[in-house]
Amino acid sequence: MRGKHYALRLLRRWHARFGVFAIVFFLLLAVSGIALNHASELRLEGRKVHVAWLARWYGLKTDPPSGIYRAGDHILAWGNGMWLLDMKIIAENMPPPVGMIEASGVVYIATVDTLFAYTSDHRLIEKIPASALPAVPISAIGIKDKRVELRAGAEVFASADSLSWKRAPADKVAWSTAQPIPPSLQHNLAALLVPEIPLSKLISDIHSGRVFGKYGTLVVDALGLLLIILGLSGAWVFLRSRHRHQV
Amino acid sequence: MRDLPSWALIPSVLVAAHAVAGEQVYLAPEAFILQALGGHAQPRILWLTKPMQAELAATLGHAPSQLRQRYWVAGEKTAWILEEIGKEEPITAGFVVAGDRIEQARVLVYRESRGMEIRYPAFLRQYAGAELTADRRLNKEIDGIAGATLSVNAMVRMAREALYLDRMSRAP
Repeated sequence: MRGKHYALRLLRRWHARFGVFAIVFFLLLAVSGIALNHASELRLEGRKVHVAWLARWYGLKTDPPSGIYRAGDHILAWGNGMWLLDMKIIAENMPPPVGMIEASGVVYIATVDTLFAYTSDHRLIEKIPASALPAVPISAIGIKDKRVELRAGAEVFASADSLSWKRAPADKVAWSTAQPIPPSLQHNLAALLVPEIPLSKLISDIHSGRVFGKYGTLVVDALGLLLIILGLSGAWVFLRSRHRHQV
Repeated sequence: MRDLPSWALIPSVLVAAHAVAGEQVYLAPEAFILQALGGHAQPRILWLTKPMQAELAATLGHAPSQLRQRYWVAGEKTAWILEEIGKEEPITAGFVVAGDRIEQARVLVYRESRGMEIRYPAFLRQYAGAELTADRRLNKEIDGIAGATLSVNAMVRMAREALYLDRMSRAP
């Protein structure tokens, strides 16, 4: 009888100890699980995390920018799918730009099949798709007499408002060309162009333990087993205590 | 494009139809405009004023991504090509609006890894005839698709956006 009581006390003690140890992890799993189930309501979708050490932890290497475009006072750099206008991230998941100009206070950035218009304070005016452009692929963007000029193949098209386009002669167009990055900017650009990690992926990886590599999932598996053991031991302690009181 | 022959569309269709990794182009946006409104559609621009931006922010749950919206007009119909993020990536969809009602909805480009079932006609037909209520909702229930909830939600938001923008484009 004494032995049984001793076993019960021992189990209760270790149940409590493991419970206290595990609660931090269970809270983490519970909170991350709830967050994933309500990703839409919590507006996790589309959010990205830009943290250098986290990117390194994921094994993502920073692809240093290879050049910049200048237009007026503006500087455009790109790398890791991001565009930096005047050292501010303005777009993600983007292809490399083919050039940038400024016309009548509007900053135009061209890719091979899209033209982006930004205000001088970096607000997107419009993403002009291929369907609204005179021709693609665009190989260069330039400026002449405050008009936007696009080169596609051997042809050049001009527009004063980026709405209507006309064929134009290619002479005297100031084409945007990539320039080498000044050494003073290189470090700052590399720091700003850290690869992004989707927030929902990060939470999902924390939940599954994948964020800690292959051993992380094993730890989460072990925590799952611990939860089972705690559940069973808790039930046993409860039932034994009730049985004792009844006796 | 305005003063160019229709063959000038060909290269852009080819480029748009090129599928990059994870991107499924079901219908090139220019082909959608051509199919929906014919070859005489006129492109227009709608500048989003501050009150319109506020209204769209309430409709979409986030601020509109750009300050002006391009659309196409043919007679009483307007066509809108809109983008909205489903889970991680933007979904490009086309809507034709006539008489304050959606006449046609199409998924043009899908970039998410799951949820592409929203492209099926059986799902998209639900939008036909949908109108915008006073509280910025659709006047008909759109049945969801299991496993594609976020993409369905994005489509519903875009449908509401298209109806609102159409209304604003006709405002005096």
